[in-house]
Amino acid sequence: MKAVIWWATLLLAGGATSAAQQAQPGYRVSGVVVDAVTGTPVPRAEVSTTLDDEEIKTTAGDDGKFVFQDMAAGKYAIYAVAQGYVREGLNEHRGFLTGVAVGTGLDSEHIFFPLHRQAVIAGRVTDEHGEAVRHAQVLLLGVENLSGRPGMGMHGETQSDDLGEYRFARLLPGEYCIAVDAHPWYARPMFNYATEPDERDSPFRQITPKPNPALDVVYPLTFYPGVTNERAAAELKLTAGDTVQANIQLQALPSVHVRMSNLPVDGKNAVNVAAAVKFFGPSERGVSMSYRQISPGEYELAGLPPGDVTLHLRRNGNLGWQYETIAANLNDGDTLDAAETAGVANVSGRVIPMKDSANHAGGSVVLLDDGSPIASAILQKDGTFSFAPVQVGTYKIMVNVPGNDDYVQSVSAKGAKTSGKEITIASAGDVQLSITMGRGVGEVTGVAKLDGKPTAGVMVLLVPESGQAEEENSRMDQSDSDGSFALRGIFPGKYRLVAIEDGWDLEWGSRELMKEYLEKGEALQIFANDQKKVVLEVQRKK
Amino acid sequence: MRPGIAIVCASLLWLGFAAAAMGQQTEADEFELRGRVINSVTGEPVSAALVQLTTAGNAEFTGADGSFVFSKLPRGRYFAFPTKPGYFSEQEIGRWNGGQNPMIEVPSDAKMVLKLIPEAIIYGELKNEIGEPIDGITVRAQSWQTQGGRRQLQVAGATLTDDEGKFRIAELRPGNYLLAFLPAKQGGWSTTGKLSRGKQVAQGYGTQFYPGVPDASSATGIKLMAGAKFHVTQILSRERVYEIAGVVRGADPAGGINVSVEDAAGETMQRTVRLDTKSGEFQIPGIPTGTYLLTATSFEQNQNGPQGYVMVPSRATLPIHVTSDLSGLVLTLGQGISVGVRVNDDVSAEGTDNAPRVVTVQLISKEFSQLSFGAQVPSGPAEGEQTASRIGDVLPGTYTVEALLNHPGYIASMRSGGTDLLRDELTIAQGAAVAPIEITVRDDGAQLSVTTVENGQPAAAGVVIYSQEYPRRSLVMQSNESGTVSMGGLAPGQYQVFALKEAEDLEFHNSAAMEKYLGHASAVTLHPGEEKSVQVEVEKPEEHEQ
Repeated sequence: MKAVIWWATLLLAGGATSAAQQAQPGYRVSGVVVDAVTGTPVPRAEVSTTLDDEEIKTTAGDDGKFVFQDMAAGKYAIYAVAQGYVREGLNEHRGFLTGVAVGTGLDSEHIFFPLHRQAVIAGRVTDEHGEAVRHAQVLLLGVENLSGRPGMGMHGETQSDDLGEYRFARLLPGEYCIAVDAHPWYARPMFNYATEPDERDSPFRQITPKPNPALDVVYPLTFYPGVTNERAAAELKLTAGDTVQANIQLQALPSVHVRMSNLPVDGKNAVNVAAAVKFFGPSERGVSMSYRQISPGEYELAGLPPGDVTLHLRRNGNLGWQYETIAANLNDGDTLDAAETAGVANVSGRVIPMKDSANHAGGSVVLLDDGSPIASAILQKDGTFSFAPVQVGTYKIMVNVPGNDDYVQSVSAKGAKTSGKEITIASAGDVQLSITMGRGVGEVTGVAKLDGKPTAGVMVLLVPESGQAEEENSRMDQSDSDGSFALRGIFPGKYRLVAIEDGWDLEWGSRELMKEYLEKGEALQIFANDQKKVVLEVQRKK
Repeated sequence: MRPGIAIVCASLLWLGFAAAAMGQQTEADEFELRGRVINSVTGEPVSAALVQLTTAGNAEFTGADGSFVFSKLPRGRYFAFPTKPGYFSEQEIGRWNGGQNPMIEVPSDAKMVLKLIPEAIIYGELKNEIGEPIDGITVRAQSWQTQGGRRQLQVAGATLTDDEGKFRIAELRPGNYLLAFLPAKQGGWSTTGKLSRGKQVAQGYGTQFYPGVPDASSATGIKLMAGAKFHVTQILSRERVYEIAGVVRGADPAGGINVSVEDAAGETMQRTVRLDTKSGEFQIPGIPTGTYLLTATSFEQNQNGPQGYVMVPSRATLPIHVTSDLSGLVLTLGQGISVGVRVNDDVSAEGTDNAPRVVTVQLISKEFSQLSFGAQVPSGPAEGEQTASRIGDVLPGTYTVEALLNHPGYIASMRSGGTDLLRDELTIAQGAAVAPIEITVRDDGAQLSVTTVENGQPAAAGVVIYSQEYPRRSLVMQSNESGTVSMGGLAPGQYQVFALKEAEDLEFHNSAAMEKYLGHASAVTLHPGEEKSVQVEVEKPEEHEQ
């Protein structure tokens, strides 16, 4: 079961069963909490679950055994934690856990609950003087498999203290990287090209010193053990109970100054540009930057790190707003022209609504790049829309209408290629879109059986048949103690359904690796508001 | 010696002198400035501190021995100041007499000694009764700050305990601190629709103050000197927690209801509130023994607003003492007492511009320092219409009334019936009528220029303009290195003016505490529109014990 969704269902069930609760004696939920590696019982673990919207807790004995009495029939998500162990749901895998089914004919009294000893990564951040760096943002990145492809995702963030020390605790075994985002405490912004009238009359003249290039420095995003190139970042492999020390020394580099012309400017001369650095693929970290006008229309951007920087420019217009992205490898003194983005296209079109959904008031059409909205166009009453010039690239299309849950069902385009809900604009020109809306999602529920017996804890996966890169249309669940699973919110279409024992480490986003499993899975066609029930054969991992 | 040689010697001497002078001329504009930065408490060198020379832009880091050198400086006067994380400059600590940066005339043989004041740190660990670390508890340090003569607790730093129960709060200035341990949020701030029929005997952590008491008034302050590292090992015990239940009456069904609980320190308890919006019944579990303020708020559709329907907030508050489960509490909205407020704008014609003139009036509860009721009252002209406003839903109790202007001027008078609210408190009793608050605003304030001298020489100091009659009108200012400071817009009246090296922590309301300064103060009477100046001698600290 998926932890969050289940509680909503329990809320509905609670109303029905509380009357029943008074009529019949409750059931018992019991088991033993053990160390996931050694198998020995974990004494005095705290085990909790939710009943009637309230958390109830019980403490296991010295033998690791725990019991909940008087439980109503239903399904429960149970969690356990103990001193020195990570808090986990039963057989948890990334937000899914094995729910415990309680009721007549169901065994809820032999729960085997493995807990992992916590792993810890701690360390000290120092600067080029060997001094502690305070208030450095330390990022914990972990190898994960969320979208079916191994990648690095953010697992946490903390700040270094007055000793420069940081600590990440309660970590599950895995592979991790550490990155540090910090500013030299003594850094002062300076402008090389944009001059300001003399501040001689300022009452603070005595306190504000003149700019000094030795103070015009930055710390680029630095990865343990102290490198600025993510490819050289060290991966820390942790097993349960490991404590690893990861110290990082930062080196200050002279900041980069660039001159930029044709920057979009708002109202009080506030420049609409933000800088960021990318790392580990699409992850981005904002970078602070100072700017000052050199001459009307031309600005100096200062305080930037050298190297690959992404600049996001936001333009506001009558038809909506949009972001343009300039990815540049910056060196001091570079000149950039914000108007010279890599080709722009005029994108417009029409939204074809569902029959009874006439009013698009307040709606907008949004283009997303890697999950982030980069342009928005107002949806007119007649369903038409028009974007301000959009950069070439690949975008996902979304339509937002307040109070309306209809989704984009399909997109056809002239002047661009389409793939599901994505369009690819290859060159400058005109693009005409026709967006068809859909409504109603389906669900698939059932039981996963291995060798004819309902099996708990298996990975159940639903992927679109067509194999398009539509990760967000895939659905996943973990079977509960009675073998049951539920997949909801499925957009209409053709899919393949598989259940794989111990399948959690599979790179399920790769069609080649999953080919054999998918071929043996079930083919399903889901319609709007469909409710399918299946009995699914569990495949063993190859 | 013989004359011939003397002449030779003299010539040689003269040549040497000329040579030296020429040498000086070629390097005329390049001198060195040396010095070191030390820890003001231990005297030890501070390494990797940044020393900056003002007006010159030069900056150098100190070495491991705390020393620094600036080379190639032209002749002149330089002010230098050091900075480093973990240290404060003397100005930051707010020492009035530290108003000047160390200055040196270059060239000079003297070495500058710059001082940095080290931070204080409170650190330690939190454990439960059986010695296990407790994580996720907020540890918060607060210090008493005197603002406008009123002492208030301000947060100086806060952090969460980690998985080992450890915490550190750094960057604390010397002072007196209150350390609080606030339990983790339980269930977040949420309101769920279901009421529970079952009850559980529950245990939880209540708010605790160092060294282990449940309320701030019995807590022991932690006095920190510069550079202190104060270690705390705190044991938190679980205690019995109770459920409070009741009903909110008088809510507009469309307006929604919000129920919250605040402890005596003003913290909103983070608990899951079970609320049935139709019947108004609520249940709040997890409340430890103590005194709390229960508040229900809702919005009402007010048809009397200028635009027709207007959502007006309405509030009901109830102080409660929890020593066991409480039920049957009733919060009735719209039953609070309403206090009228009228502001007369008695300003000269030139005093007004077109900006809306508003007076913010606040009634601050004496029983619950975090509880206040207020309104923004537009001020109207003295003759003709006066705009009448009301502060609604006020709980019976005793209040200090404060008025803030959003425009230049001063509060000439503030009364409720026979009570002078500039000096005395407003008592609101259930069922008794409260005379409306009448406020008169004027803009014919006086200007006072003060010169502070120490031993006949102008010196920087803290200047106190104290009003014995209306202590809340008292002010504290700082004179600059020339010993001058000036303040306009002062309410006419009698004042006592005196100067101190350190003018913090003065309690204007405590007339006994103020007595000791008045002996050396200058009495000044200010009339409307007057410009006066006065010279005061800076009082020596030995002249009175603190």
